[in-house]
Amino acid sequence: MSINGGHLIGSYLSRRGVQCVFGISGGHIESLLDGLQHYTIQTIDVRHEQAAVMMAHAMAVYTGKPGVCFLTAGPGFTNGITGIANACLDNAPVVVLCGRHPLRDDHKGALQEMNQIDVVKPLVKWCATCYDTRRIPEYLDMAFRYALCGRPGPVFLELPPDILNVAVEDFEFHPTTDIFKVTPDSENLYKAAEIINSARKPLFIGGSGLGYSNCPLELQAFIEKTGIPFMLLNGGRGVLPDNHPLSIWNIGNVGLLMTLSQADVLVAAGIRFNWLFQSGAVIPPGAKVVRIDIEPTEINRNRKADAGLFGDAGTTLKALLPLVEQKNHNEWLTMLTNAGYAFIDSEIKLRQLPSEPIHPIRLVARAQEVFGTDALYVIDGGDTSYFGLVGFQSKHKAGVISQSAGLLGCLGAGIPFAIAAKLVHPDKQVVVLTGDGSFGFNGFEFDTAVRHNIPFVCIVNNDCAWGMIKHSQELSIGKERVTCAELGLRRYEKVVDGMGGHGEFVDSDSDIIPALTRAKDSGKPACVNVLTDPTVTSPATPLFYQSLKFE
Amino acid sequence: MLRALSLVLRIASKRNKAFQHYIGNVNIKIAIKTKDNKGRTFLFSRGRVSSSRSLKEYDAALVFSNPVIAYKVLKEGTQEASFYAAATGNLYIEGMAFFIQWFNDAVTIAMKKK
Repeated sequence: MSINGGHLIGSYLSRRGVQCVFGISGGHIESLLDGLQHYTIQTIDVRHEQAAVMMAHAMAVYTGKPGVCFLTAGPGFTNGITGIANACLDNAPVVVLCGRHPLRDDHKGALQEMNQIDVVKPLVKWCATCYDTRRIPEYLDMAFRYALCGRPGPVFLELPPDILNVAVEDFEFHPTTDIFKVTPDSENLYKAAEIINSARKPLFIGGSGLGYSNCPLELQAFIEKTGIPFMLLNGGRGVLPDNHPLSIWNIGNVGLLMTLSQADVLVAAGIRFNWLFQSGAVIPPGAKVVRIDIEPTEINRNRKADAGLFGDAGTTLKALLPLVEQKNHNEWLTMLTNAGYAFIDSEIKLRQLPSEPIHPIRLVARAQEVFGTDALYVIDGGDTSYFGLVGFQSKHKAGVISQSAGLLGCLGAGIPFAIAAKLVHPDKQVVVLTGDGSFGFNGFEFDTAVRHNIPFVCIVNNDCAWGMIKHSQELSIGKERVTCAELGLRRYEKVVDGMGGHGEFVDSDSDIIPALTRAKDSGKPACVNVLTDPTVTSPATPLFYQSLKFE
Repeated sequence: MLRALSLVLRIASKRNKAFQHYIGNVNIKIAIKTKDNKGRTFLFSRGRVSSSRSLKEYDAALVFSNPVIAYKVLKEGTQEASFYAAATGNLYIEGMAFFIQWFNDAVTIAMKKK
């Protein structure tokens, strides 16, 4: 019996347990599509390849397993690049399967002929072209292995039609799924434990390294034994719930920066000291730093670690557990919580009081009332990211997430992430809070959600502008010289309604909860377009402005 | 004391290159006041610094429980002093804390001789 290359891929993915993949059809990948169909792998066909890669990225975030997407050759490939770059900077294990012009037609001016490998090379952990149909399972094994081993990341496998369409004698193969975890050496573990045990004002921050390590029990045991106040960020958020008694999410990012400035010991697990931490400058010079990372080159990056633990976050925390002492830092926790509340006093009042025009933080507070902590929240936007990240709380892993607040600062990932979140958690409410600017990038994915019956609620925080840019320009070059930053009032909910979803428009505080409730109850992909105060600037804007100031 | 601070910032805006670089073209108004609404507003406008006794309009304010605490914290001039004042209910912020952070850093730079 024979099998063609496309069916070999379907067979491989099916044996590996991949249930859902994302992409757009194309002539170059026809037998791949047929292979997916044959092996009953769900295909979510989107409206722009960028969204397909973002959905695969989101699958990785929510499941901890590599997400898979497919792109057709040429423009399908180039459309996917932003998603690949975002996955790269977010260290997300994404397997990108991509069509290509036929090998037979190399250098002949074939349709969609371009050097895709050289374009994608700097953005992936591994890339290759498969030249032999029989080696497809081996190449896929390599792709998954590279995506997952060490620090995760995207990989790219190019499959020409004269490999995909060729039939070979069927043969037996077994995907390799072994995962090898690294544990730090004992000398550094003892050194780290000594620092942690002598801390008076410690703080723990964790990032996506915790999320991909899938270590809620190890983290909980470590946090509760050491009594260290903590904040989990990025893909690590929700590994322990935001409302855990030792979590400091109740005082938000402002509280984090303030606490960092006072901490005597910082334990950082699976998180980079990048621009969001002012490249380590926010950590006081006198503080001791314990750094846990699966990528050894991160350990002394931007700040020398007093104890560097090279290893998987979960296995490292487990190894540290018997070495750390049972402690209680409640006095320190109370102090930093009180100080934090004093620093965000105005924000807390804004959440509680009706506002006309609607303040974005008030909108977030009302949405939290409607959807609660059992929902998953995806945030997308500039100023909107700040308000969403500090205002929403969830008890789920990656329950509050924003790609636009990540390293690529990538707007437009909100709706793709929401679609993937709903596919992974069909029993949970999924809510997107997006800026009106961000909505424009992948708003048409509402069509994808309608066709595949994937309900979620998208709240547009509509300030009729690219708010963060506009307010940044106001700070730097003056209100009278704001350029390319205004968008005007657009009825995005009508677009969604026209595509078969549910639409609501809100411009007064008292209408927020009824409109969100109707959207939730509609059972459709829903858009609640909320007109908010265009003069509001988020605290992230001055930070953003300062980071780009050169004189 | 607030008038002295105003003078320090004004001089720094003319002579201290690091300070000039830091404040750039920012337009921000920061108030330092007590709960009974006495204090001063510092205005940063396109590289110029001025201050006023008017407390009607500002982007963010440091609000102290009383003048004694305000004097103590401002004299010490450290983040730790502000933190403990906030933790003990003697200081809170109106408006965006990041503006206050920005202001504190500006003061720190102004105090350094360049």
